[in-house]
Amino acid sequence: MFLDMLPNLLNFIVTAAFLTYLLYKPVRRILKARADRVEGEMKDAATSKATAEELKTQYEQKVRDIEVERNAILDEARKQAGEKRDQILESAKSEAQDVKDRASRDIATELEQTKGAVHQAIIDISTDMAAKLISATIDKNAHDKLFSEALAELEATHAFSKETAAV
Amino acid sequence: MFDINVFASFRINDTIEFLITETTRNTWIVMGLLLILAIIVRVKSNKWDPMKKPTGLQNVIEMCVDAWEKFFRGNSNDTVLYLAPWFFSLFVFLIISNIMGITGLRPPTADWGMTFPLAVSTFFLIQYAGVRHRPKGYLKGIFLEPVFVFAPLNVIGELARPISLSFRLFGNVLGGMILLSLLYGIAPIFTQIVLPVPLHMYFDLAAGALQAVIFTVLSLTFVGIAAES
Repeated sequence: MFLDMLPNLLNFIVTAAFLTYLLYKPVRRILKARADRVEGEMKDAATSKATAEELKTQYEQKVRDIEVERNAILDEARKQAGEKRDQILESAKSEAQDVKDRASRDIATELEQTKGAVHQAIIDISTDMAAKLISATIDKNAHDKLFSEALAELEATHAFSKETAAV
Repeated sequence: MFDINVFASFRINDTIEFLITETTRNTWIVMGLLLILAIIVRVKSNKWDPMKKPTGLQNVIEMCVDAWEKFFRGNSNDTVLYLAPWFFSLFVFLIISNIMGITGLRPPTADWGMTFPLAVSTFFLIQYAGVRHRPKGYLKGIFLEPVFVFAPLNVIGELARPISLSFRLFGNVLGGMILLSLLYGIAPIFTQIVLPVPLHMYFDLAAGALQAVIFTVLSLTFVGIAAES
C-alpha cells in the first residue's frame, strides 16, 4: 500500500526540484541583487548625508568666524574713525582760533591806521584853517604864541589817542 | 463514481506493482503546468535586469516569491529559511491540485495516496530540523519531557502529525469532490446549469485554497517549532 504512494512522493519531489531551481532561486537571486543594490545606495546616501552635514558644520563655523572677524573690523574702523574725527575737530578748532586771532590783530591794526589817518587829516585841516585865519588877523607875536598852544594841544591829543588804541 | 481509475500497471515482481492511476495522471498534469511556468520564468529571467523596475510576469513572480518569504518568516523562523523553496513548491502544488476539481478532473489531493506522502515528507523535515538545529534539546523534548514515562505518548504525538495533516486535506478535498459528483450524477439536469457555480467556488476555490494554506502553515509551524532553540 505504502509502496503505491512512492511514485506520488517522487512526482512531488521532482516538481519541487524544478520549481526550486528554475523558478524560486533565479527570482530570489534577482530580489537579492536588488536588495543589495538598494542597501548599497542607502549606505552611499548615509555617507553623503554625513559628509554634507560635516560640510554644513564647517560652513556654519566659518560663517561664525567671519561674523566675529567682521565685528572686530567694524569695531576697529569705528575706533579709528572716532580718533580721526577728534583729530579733525581739534585741528579745526585750532585753525579757527588762529584765524580769529589773526582777524583780531588785523582789525586792531586797521583801527590804529584809520585813527592815525583821521588824526592827521584833522591836523592838516585845522592847520590850514588856522593858517588862513591867522594870516588874516594876527601879528607876529600872537602868531607864535598860538602856534605853541596849538602844538601843545596836539601833543596832548596824540597821547590820548595812543591810550585809547592800547585799550 | 468515487473509485480511483487505474489506467495501467507495471508489475516488478509478485509483491511490487506500480499503478498509473487517475491521481498519477492528474499529478502529472499539475507537474506539467508548474514545469511550463518554471521554464518560462527561467528563460525570461535571463533577460530580467534587477536594476530596472519589474513589469509584467517578472513583477508577479517577484511579488509571489517575496510575499512567500515574508509569509514563511511569519509562520516559521529564520533558521529554517533554507526550506522556503520546498514549502513554496508544496503550497503551489497543493493550490493547483485542490482547485483542479473546477475543471472536472479529480484533484490529486482527493487521494490519500497523495496527501499522506506529502505529510510524511513534512514529518521527516520536522525531525531533520529538530535534530539539526537543537539535537540534544529536540530529542530530550520527545523522550524525557516532561518525564521519560511520557516518551511513548510523545512519539505517538509525533507520528500522529502526518496522519492528521494528510487526512485533514484529503477529507476536505474528497468531501467537496463527492458533493459535486453527487450533484452532477444524481441531481436533475436543470440543477446543473447555475447551481454548481457557487458550489465549485466554495468547494474547489475557497476550501481548496484554504486547505492548501492550512496544510502549509501547519507544516511550517511544526518545522519552525522543532528548530526553535
